[in-house]
Amino acid sequence: MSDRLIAPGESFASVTDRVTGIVFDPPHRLGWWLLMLLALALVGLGTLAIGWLFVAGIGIWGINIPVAWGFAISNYVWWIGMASGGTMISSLFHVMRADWRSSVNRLAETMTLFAAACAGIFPILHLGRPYYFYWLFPYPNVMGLWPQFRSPLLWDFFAILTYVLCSMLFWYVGLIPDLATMRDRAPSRAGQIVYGLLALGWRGSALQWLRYQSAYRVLAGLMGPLVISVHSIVGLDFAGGLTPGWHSTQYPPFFVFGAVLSGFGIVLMLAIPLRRAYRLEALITPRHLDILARLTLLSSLAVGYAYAMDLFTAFYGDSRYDHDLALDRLIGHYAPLFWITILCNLLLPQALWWRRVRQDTRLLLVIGASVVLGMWCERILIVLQSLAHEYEPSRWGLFHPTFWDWATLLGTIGLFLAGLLLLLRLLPALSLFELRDLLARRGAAHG
Amino acid sequence: MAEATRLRVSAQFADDAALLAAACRLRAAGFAGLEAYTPYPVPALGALTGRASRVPAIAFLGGLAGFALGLGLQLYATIIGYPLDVGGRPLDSWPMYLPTVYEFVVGSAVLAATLGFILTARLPRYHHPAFEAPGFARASSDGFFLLVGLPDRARYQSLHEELARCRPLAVADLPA
Repeated sequence: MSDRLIAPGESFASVTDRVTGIVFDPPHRLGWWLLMLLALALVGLGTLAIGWLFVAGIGIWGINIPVAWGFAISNYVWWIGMASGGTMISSLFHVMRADWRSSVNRLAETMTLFAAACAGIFPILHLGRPYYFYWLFPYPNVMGLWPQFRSPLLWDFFAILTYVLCSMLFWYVGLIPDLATMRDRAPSRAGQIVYGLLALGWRGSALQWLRYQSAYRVLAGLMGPLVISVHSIVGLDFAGGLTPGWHSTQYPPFFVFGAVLSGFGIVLMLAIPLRRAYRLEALITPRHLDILARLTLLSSLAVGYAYAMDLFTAFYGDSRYDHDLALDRLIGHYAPLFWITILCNLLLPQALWWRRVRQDTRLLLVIGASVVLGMWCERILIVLQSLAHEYEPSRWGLFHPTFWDWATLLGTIGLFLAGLLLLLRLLPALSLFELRDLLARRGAAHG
Repeated sequence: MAEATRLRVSAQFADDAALLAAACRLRAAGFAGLEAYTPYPVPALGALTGRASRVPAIAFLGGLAGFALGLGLQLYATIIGYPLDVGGRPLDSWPMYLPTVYEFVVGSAVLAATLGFILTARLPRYHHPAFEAPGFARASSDGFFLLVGLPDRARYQSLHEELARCRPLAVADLPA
């Protein structure tokens, strides 16, 4: 099976050359710069939006009573969902010893890092007084106050903090042997010094590999459950409220399903252009894309189940508020968001049942993008619609996003893109030593 | 590696199988202080070192410490630091603390595993004699190296003879 994970004819040296070549002798310099400029322009727009937010306050956004959670919270959930999906690919399939993971895990983990960073920005911006965000830390203070440990919102703070730190460590430990390769191949003295420092003096001795593998297994084993806890806690942020539509026991797994779906979607969206632009078709093979596509389909069915149960429990239950909200979701003001979600997350991915679709990179790219868009619509729908349609009609109201809402969202997209582009030119985009391991085992199978 | 090591000989091999065979052969011939360097993990070579990894145990202890810290912090904060009576509910409502405790456990275990790995793998290290081996830069790409340490010159000749039988690509004496 591993044969098809690397094209025939690849050797240790060719894999190393191909992947380190992206850093040391990058092709498509102009294209890279154009994309980078676009990303930086978006970052500039986002910085402007955040700067104005700090000056003028959150009144510049469309949020108000009753819809007090708007773009910030749904963007946060969207980004952290994509991040979670990336970690899931990397850790879960390492624990399951799935060989196909080797070519996409670095991409997934790097994507996770920046998605989590983008996510982390929003809850702080969303605070009316962001300069007091450190009040969430449990530290002895002159006010004699401690945070409310019984609130899911505080659980969330710890979950995100832990998740960002652990993702960075997991990513870095996974990089150490490859940093040694970069050190040994860097043409410039500066490169040798920087990669050398980051590689910590890695030599690849039998003893080091022994400890490395055991450490990596432990980390992968810890990261999987961590991701599930993180996104479950995000779900509990909502389920902990009494608002109709949110107050549901299925929210934690529902949120995890959505996170995984958007994670697969974004990895497809990134892997397909990357393999094409940098001629990595031999390493990210059609088999990888096929597996990613099947997993997208599986998680699409999982969210489909959650959507169905959401409506079913609303109508099966006895609360007229839940009935009313469910009906409003189907035909009310925010219904278009709901139907886009169904189209993008549930209907379009059904095309992946066909092998021909799974082998067509352009269609896969479209489906990956549709899932990412669909998940954004789902998150914003969950946040807006429940708040806009609470118990009493006197509390009904709509949310209208402002220019600054969109600017902040675009800013984080720019940050994500800029971060990925930067690391693409600084670090190996694929895990070199895992590819070598795969090649070695393939050789053993044939010899 | 023995502290009295005064001579080091490096040998480069074509692949992991040749390296493994050479390591087994030298070991059987009684040479201690063998160290193998490969561009990817070769479990059989790791088994030859005869040592187990302590990283899982370190991670477990880290997790335990995280559990104690996370639960202790919350119990202190809610019972002693800032007792808040909400409709007569108990102050030590520990089930509500478990999600945060969980994050503490995982976070500490990950931190401990990372640090445990770095320290037990003898990192960070500024320099190592292995880097003196000719062509060692390829050990991180497609080179397979064996480093043999000798306490004195007594078996120097027999080491070279033994190595020659293992069909290495290159053999070199490293500067002391």
